[in-house]
Parts: sequence; C-alpha cells; structure tokens
Amino acid sequence: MRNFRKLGLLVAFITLLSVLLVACGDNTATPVPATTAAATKAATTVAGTTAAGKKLKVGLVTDVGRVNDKSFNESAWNGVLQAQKELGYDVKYVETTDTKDYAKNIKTFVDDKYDVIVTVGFLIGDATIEAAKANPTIKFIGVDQGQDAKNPIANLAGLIFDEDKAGFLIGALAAGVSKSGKLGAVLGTKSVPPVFKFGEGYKNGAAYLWANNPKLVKAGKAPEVTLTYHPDGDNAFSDPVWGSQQAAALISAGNDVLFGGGGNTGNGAVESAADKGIYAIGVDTDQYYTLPKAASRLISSATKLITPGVFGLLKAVGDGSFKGGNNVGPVGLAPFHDLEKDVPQELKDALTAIDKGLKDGSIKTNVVVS
Amino acid sequence: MASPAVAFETEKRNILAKIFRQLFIPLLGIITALIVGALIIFISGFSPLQAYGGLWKGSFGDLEAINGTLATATPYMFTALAVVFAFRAGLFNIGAEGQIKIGAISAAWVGINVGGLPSFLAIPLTLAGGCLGGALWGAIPGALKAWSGAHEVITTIMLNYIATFITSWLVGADGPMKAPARMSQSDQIGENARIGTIVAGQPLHWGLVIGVTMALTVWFILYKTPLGLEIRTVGANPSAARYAGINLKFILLATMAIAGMLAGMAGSLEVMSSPGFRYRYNAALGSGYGFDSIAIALLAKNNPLAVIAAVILFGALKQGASQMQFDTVAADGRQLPGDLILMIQALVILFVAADQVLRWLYRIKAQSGESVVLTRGWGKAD
Repeated sequence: MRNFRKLGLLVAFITLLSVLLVACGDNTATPVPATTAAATKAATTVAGTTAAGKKLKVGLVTDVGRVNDKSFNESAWNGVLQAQKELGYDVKYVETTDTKDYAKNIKTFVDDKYDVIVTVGFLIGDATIEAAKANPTIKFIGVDQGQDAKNPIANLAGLIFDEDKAGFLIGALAAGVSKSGKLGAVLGTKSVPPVFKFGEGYKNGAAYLWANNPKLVKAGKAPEVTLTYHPDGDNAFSDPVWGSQQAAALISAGNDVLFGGGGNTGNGAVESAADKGIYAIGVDTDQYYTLPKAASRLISSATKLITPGVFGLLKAVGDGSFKGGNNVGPVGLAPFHDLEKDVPQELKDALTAIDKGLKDGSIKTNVVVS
Repeated sequence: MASPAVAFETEKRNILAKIFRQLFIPLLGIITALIVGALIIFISGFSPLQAYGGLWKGSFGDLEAINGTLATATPYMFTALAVVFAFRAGLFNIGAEGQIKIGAISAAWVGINVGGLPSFLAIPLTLAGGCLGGALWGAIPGALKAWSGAHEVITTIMLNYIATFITSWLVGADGPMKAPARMSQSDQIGENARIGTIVAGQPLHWGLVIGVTMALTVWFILYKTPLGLEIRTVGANPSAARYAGINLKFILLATMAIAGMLAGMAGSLEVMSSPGFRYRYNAALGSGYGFDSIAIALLAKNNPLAVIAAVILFGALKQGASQMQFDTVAADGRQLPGDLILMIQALVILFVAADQVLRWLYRIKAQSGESVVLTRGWGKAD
C-alpha cells in the first residue's frame, strides 16, 4: 500500500509538472506582442499623443481564432500594434472563440469607453454594424466588411480589398510558371465574397495571360484551373487536414501550382504542396514569413495589405480624416523570394503591366459576385 | 424510544447532510482547480487576481453578465440532459451535436413556413418541428443499437458528421435554404415563431425556463415513472432487464429518441431566440456542443437536477472568458492567451468530474452507493 501511495504521488507530480511545462511553453508561443515587448516599453515612454492631443484607446475583436493565427487576425493586430508603436495608442485585443460571442466581445470594449474598435472578418460584420449604430461616438473599423455604398454609417469604415485583382495577378503568374498547364486552388467557403473573388480572379487571370501573352504561358496551352471550395461551416477556415487532402488529390491529378486561399484550411494545402515540391501560392499576407515549412516553394502570395490598411485608418482617426463607408485597401503580389529565378523577366514585365492596368482600370477582372 | 419530533429532526438533518455531502465534493473540485489554475497563471507571468477578477466580472459581475451566463448555459441544459438521459439506459450519446443541428434546421424550416399563424400556434409548431427532427436523429442510432447491436458511440459520431454536412449544404452556397446575401445562414423565421427575451435588450430568453422544466421532467420520468424504472434497469443490467420482461429494443429506441428530442429542442430554441444567430439557422450552430455536453453530464454525475447547476458553472466559464482576457495584462503588456483560459476551464471539469482523484487527494472516504459507473463494455445489449 505504501508503494502505491508513493507511486500515485509521483504520477500526480509528473502530471502537474507536464501541465506546468505546457503553460511555460505557452510563453514562447505567445502572440506577436511578445516580440514587440521592447517596443511596447518604448511606446509608453514616447509622447503618446495624436495630432488632436489625445491618447486613443484601440480595441481589436478577432474573428473565431487567435491573434497569432498567421493570417487575418494577426495582420489586423499588427496594424494595431504599429499604431501603438508609432502613434502611442493604447491597445488591447479580445479573441473570439464562438460566433455567438461577437456582440459580447465588442461590448467589452464599448463598456470600457474605447475610442476605436477594430473588428476582423466578414462574419462579425452584422454585430459591428449594430454596435456602430448604437455608439455613434466610437469609431469602428471593419476589416473585410463591405458596407452599403448607398447608406454608409459615418463612424464605421469597412476596410475592403479588391481580392479579384490580387487573384488575377497570381492567376497570371501561375499560368506563366506552370509546366503542366493545370492550376489548382484550395479555398475557404464560396459564400464568403472575398474568397470567391480570389478564386474567380485566379481563374480569370490565368485565362487573361493565355489570351494576351500566349508565349509567356510555359505549358503552351490554355490553362486548366480547378477551384476547390470548403463546405460551409464553423471550420471552413480552420480545417488544415481537409486542405492538405484536397491538395494531394489535385497534385495527383497533375496540378503543379497550388493556391491556398482560406486561413488555416488553405495553409494545410500550401504546406502539403510545398512538401511535394510543387509551386505554392499563399494568400492575404506574404506567407513566406508565416509558413516557414513551405517557404522554399512559395513563389508568391495574393496579398491584401491589411496591416497598412488598418494602420492607415487608425492614423486617420487620430488626425481627423476618418471617413465611414467603404475604404479600399491595397493589394499586390508578394515577392518571389527563393523562386525569383523561376520567373522570367518577360513574365515579370507582363505582371507589372497587368498590375498597372488593374489599378488604372484598363484591365478588368470580370469577376461578378452573385 | 425517540419521540416523533426528534425522529423528524434526525431525518431533516440526514437529508441536509446528504445534500451537503453531494455539494461538498464538487465545490472542493472547483476550488482545487482554481488553485492549480492560479499557479499556472502565476508561473506564466500573469496575475491570478486579475484573471479571476475578470472571470467573475464577466460571468456574474453585474445583471448583464448574469444574463449572459444564463443565456450561454441554456442550450447546454438540453444537450447535457440528452447525454444524461441516454446514459441512464447505459447508452453513450455522443450525437448531441448532430441532433441539435438537425433539430435546429427542422425548426428553422417550420419557422420560415408558418406564415400567417398566430404566435400561440406558431411557437409550439416550430418547437415541435425541432423536437421531431432531433428525435429522428436520435432514433437512428437507437434503432441500429437495438436491432443490430451497432455501438452507439460509433453511430452517433458518424451521424454527427452526416448532420454537419447535410445542414451545411442546406444553407451553403448552392443550398435550398440559403438566405440571399447571407453566408451559410437560412432566412429568418417568422416573427410569430420567435421567443422573446426575459429582459429587453439582454440575450436571456424563455428557453431557460423551458430548460429547467425539462430537467425536472427528466428527473420525474427517470425516478417516478415505470418507464424510468425500466430505463434505469436496462442501464444497470440489460440481461436482467430482459429476463424481467422489459422490452429491451423498445427501451433503447425510445431512450435515444427522447435524448435526440432534447438536443433537438436546444437547436429549436437557439434558432427561435435572438442571441448570436438572429432567428436564422447558422451553419456554426451547435459546433462543439456534443463533447462539451458529455463533460457537463460528467460534472453533474449524470443527475438531471445537478445538470442545472453544472450548466450554469459551464456557462459562467465560457461567458467570463473574454473579460478574463481583457482584464489580465502582464507587466510587459502581454494579454492572457486564449489557450490558458481553455486550460482553466478544462481543469475545473477535470477536478470536478474525476472525484476519485479528489477523494484520494483529500482522503475523503466514499459513502456506500455514491460511486458512478463510467465504463460499459462493447457488444450487443443483451
């Protein structure tokens, strides 16, 4: 009996120890703020006032997920952190764990009299609009939330991006580098307009290159684009296992360029593609930095420049130039990094020309959201 | 010879003692969990005072918080009962997630189509639609178990996936029930089919009252009716039950159907009330409810009345999490990571459910008849 007691004690101790170790592990995996801890200290000593002489309190409510999700939430939070560093704002975040909690989480900041509330993602749009209407003195920034152009709400800026243009660019790139002429994409759910626009842009961009610069299309024939959308549901953007399975299927069907567009779901596809040595294309941010496992095969990413977009709007609140309604943020191709040599100069020139054409309106993506 | 007055006093004291003993261990579990949690929070560089202060403020700090806690707890009330009820017949109902989804979408369909009916007809009809959907989804594994011995753990889990995909498709991009210009949501149900909130502007709705009523009803069925006796007998010893002439197949089927109905009711009420889903079926509805409900059922020691307290505890943990994250800031500006909050929630469940660990830790002797059977063999029910 005594032995059992000692053994039991030992087991309990080891269990507790491992629990504590996990908690300590949490320290190193702490979200982005840890890396800017020094910056935070600096920010509090810098004169933290805006042109209006007020230290603004900025809160961020994530979509379902964490602030270190290597995607949307993280990019938006980085924009807020930049405002903390350069403008001396007071910042805090609340992570959403359940779609029913959107309104409650926003209210946490409202109750504490925050000046600006940034909400991330298409799904939190309804709750953001309600909160903006109920609190006209608080400024709201809705990332990826398109506003009604006819009835803009003065204190709510919807930060939107032309995802179809970003998709168009990577579609052209993909058509230019693919040997097999088969281009694949693994995406979040079709019901989210930005995802749909990425997918359709990708398809149309590839077709554009074949129609206008057929000599640049390596495969020498019209590209075949396969778009795979995740079924609707809570895990549409957090299903990396499904993502990598779809990627594997596409690769065995001959696709040699894979575009992953859908949070963690897309990340699963991108990592799987890189594993198998084919070209991978990331989304939203330059995933060369956020997916180190896939970095060597990441030829580019369809980037929505969320961080500068959020920072720009936060700065606008400070200097008084904030305007409600739709605010279009910039998009672009991420650098080619390790695969620079795989992109011939003529293709680079063509892409630059397409980018210019998209910006000045002479080239249309022809993507219509139903 | 003791006089009647003294005998009555002793009787009263015995009941009080029994209640106290029942509450003592779970309370001890919560306190132990919070202490271990505090240790972890402290080692991670945060202040347990800030963390627990935030947790309290977010869950019970003011009327609004309490309102939110009860609103969060309401759907769990039904799904936990769904697990408890099935468990009484010896069945592991892992299918609460699928049952709540099917119930919710059935109720949504009825609610959208009840057109010009007056409220006092529309509401029960919508609720009934959900109950029927859930009952059906529960009856399938029940029938499979009764007639082929298929283990309900496997069938209910698989049916969860099927339910998830069916409902996702129904309100998905090309689905028949998708509302225009809305992502993975159905149309709103008619005004006449909606359930109001108890206090205007706060999320808590009358579903809570229905929930508590169902907890009492389940308790009544299980302990005061012949059906309940049969169910419990099947749960205790299926062979003996059959020998005693109980229709095993019927009991298994009925139990799973009723359990499914309870979860379906949770789904209906989620759609019929406002918090979060705004009177629509949302593809995110019910996610994770299956496993959380099992945890709550264990917390409540499979006692339907204790479920009421267990869901309030669980609701408080979930509700208070965001305030906890907001209030807890380390010296260098880091905020409490969401994973640590989840860990605290898990610790509470762990220590309260694994009461044998507590008894060993604090050297408390178990009274006779207070043990809980937690495992069951595989194979056919006879």
